[in-house]
Amino acid sequence: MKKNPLNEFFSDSDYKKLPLSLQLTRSNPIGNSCDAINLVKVDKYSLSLYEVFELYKPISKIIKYKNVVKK
Amino acid sequence: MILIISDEIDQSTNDVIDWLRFMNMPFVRVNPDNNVFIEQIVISNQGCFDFILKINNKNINFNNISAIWYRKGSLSNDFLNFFVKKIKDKNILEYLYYEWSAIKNFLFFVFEKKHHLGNYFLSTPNKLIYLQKAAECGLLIPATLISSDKNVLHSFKYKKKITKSIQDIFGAVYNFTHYFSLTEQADNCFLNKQLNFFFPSLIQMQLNKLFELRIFFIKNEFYSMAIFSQENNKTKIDYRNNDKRFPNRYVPFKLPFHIQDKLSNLIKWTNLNTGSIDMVVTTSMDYYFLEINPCGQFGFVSENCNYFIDKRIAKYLIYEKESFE
Repeated sequence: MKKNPLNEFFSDSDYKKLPLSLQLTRSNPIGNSCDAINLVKVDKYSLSLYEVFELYKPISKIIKYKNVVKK
Repeated sequence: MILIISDEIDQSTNDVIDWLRFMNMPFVRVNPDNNVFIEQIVISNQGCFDFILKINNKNINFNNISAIWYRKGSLSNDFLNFFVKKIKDKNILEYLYYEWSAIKNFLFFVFEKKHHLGNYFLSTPNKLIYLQKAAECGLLIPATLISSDKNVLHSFKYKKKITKSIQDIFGAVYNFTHYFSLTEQADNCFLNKQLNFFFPSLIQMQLNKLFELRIFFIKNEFYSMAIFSQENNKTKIDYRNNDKRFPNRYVPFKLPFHIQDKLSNLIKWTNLNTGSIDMVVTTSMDYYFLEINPCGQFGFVSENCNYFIDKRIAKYLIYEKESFE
């Protein structure tokens, strides 16, 4: 079985008590250019982020600001 | 004016707004990080009420709202956020949460008196209840078992099994890494490695997929898309595990009338006027219901099948004046 990315948050014994679906959690690094472009694109009508978008801050800062990815 | 409640990263909301702008329809979009300032809420005799909210320094009067689209998310308040940061006492915080919840729920309640699409109170339904109700409506559902006991799960008679979240998928971002759960295979080898007892978990029989269906509905209109995900090892268990190199085929699909009828009965029972349904068609041409997502993504259905769902929603909000007043 592959190493679970949530392992680091739990001891081995506690980790095995999690729901099976959570034990099989996947992970992806974010912050590549593709994600960044998506974030800029989807934020265009967002009132609170509008200024950020307008200022055209570096893409990395926008990601840092949101700290989320499109589900 | 159309009031839209959504979140800041929802592309489908942007697509509908594009059409509202094209049709010269004014709108206000409220995301969870746009604090709602309560200028006034008036409740008086003869069932009269009125409110003036201030969002981003813009006044929103109940009487000026022609339609409301609850896409997803909730309403937040800057005073509540202020105290969440300041106060450590759980009792006071709980009190403030309940106070704000009462106001917020009242607003969502009166929103339903307007022409609306989507419903805050139905946005997070219990998926087990929906599954059970779907079976009552005559739809096939995959055999399902929930247990905390490894031996009970082992005794599930189907050789091929999957596990998935009982309610919603897990998703979180830690240190620029996105963690998420999908539907996964739960074979006996995996079960053997588990403790005897663990948090209640769901397993289902693994269906022999011919293709999956993603069905967006608005009122009694169905916009269905077939997803040919079974030939790709990455997507055969869950199409959301997208393979960018070899993307699945997405094609428009016409639901058989007997399935439409059963889905209509289910939707009528849920009181939803929009949402997305997941189904699987097996190699023996049986239609299995999986779940309904009231706030599910529909952009990829619209784009791949040329359904123009975003335009349909805009027209629904502007022109179909189904009055609840």
